[in-house]
Amino acid sequence: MTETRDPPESGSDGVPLTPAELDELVEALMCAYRPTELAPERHEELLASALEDPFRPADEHEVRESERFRQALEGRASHPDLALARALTEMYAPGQQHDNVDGLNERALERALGGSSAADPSRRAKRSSTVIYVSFGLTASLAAAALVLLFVLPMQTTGTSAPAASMPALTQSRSTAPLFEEKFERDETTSRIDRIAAVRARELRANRFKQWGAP
Amino acid sequence: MGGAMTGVRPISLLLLALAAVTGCARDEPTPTACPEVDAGTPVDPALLAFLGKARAAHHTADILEEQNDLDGAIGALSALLRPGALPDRPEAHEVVADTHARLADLKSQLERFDEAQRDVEAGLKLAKEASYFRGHLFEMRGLVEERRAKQLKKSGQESEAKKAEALALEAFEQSMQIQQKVIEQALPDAGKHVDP
Repeated sequence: MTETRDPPESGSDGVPLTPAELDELVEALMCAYRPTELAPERHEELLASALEDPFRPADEHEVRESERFRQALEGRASHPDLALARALTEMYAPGQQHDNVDGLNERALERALGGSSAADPSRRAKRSSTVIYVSFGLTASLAAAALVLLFVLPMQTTGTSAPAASMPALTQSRSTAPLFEEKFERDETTSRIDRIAAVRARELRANRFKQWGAP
Repeated sequence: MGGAMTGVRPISLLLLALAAVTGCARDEPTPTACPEVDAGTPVDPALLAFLGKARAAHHTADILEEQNDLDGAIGALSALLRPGALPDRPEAHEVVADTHARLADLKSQLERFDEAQRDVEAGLKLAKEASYFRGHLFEMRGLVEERRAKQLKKSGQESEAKKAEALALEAFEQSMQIQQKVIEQALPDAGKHVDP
């Protein structure tokens, strides 16, 4: 199942990567391995986008794109995010391929239970290779996660059949007084607002995870 | 590149990938539930949107204040007070109360003392319970009157200046009483005499 080739580096289809593609791949891997801080403007954009309406149903474009991405993961189409998914796969499981999610789960269990595969010398040798491998199992997992986000979660939050009693207890809006243990200084208003916003932002994220059913 | 890969912690990377998909980045532990989960309004995007706006307004005011553009800073903060812009949440009320306190400070620096006191009153209507927010507003009331007294003295209005000073002292005293009450609420044994 594993495709191993010597340099020059090649994609899963055996076509050598162009220098630009290789640069892009290296950048993606470096960003995943050693992420840098977001620019404040980008952070605000992401925040605004996340706050717009997190529970709205997937729109037509998102549905179409998720289907296209699924097909790309199955090797039946192309998608601009495919290279990133493959790069992440390679970082997670270099040289490993799985036909299905079960294979990936099995391997994750082995790792968690201290299986011997990690100590396998032949596996270590594969790790040092610069050849690009494809692991369909993980990409399928990523696709599944994307599909859950796009379809299952909106259904959970907008559906009317779910009983209210099954909703998790959410962190409530309340006084911020417990956040402050000392009297207020005149020139520290901004830092107080920063603190309030930061704490409530974490709580909003936690509320979303609870609504999504995340443990 | 292969060498770098061998040092990678795969599980962390998988989590990173999933965090990127969900647009989430947790830099601190998740807040615990408990008293925060009483019936009420959950922390929601409307509140966060308001808090984000408040942050932007105060940071803008910081920059303008640094440039000695106090009128500009007042304008930036006043944008938070527009009718209909305030979500009915305790956090929003407290943030606006604190904003009124800052406005009172800025306006009194420009000798707009009556306006400054109106800001203090507006803030006190939002921060009704004994808290550092309320205590801070009384402190600002005292500061406004103290500045007014100095201005009156400069212009030779001694008796009016004395009245302003008296009001300042009264406000500072109230501020200290509120601060003490807050401390006692947080630490029930605070201030009690302990025999050796």
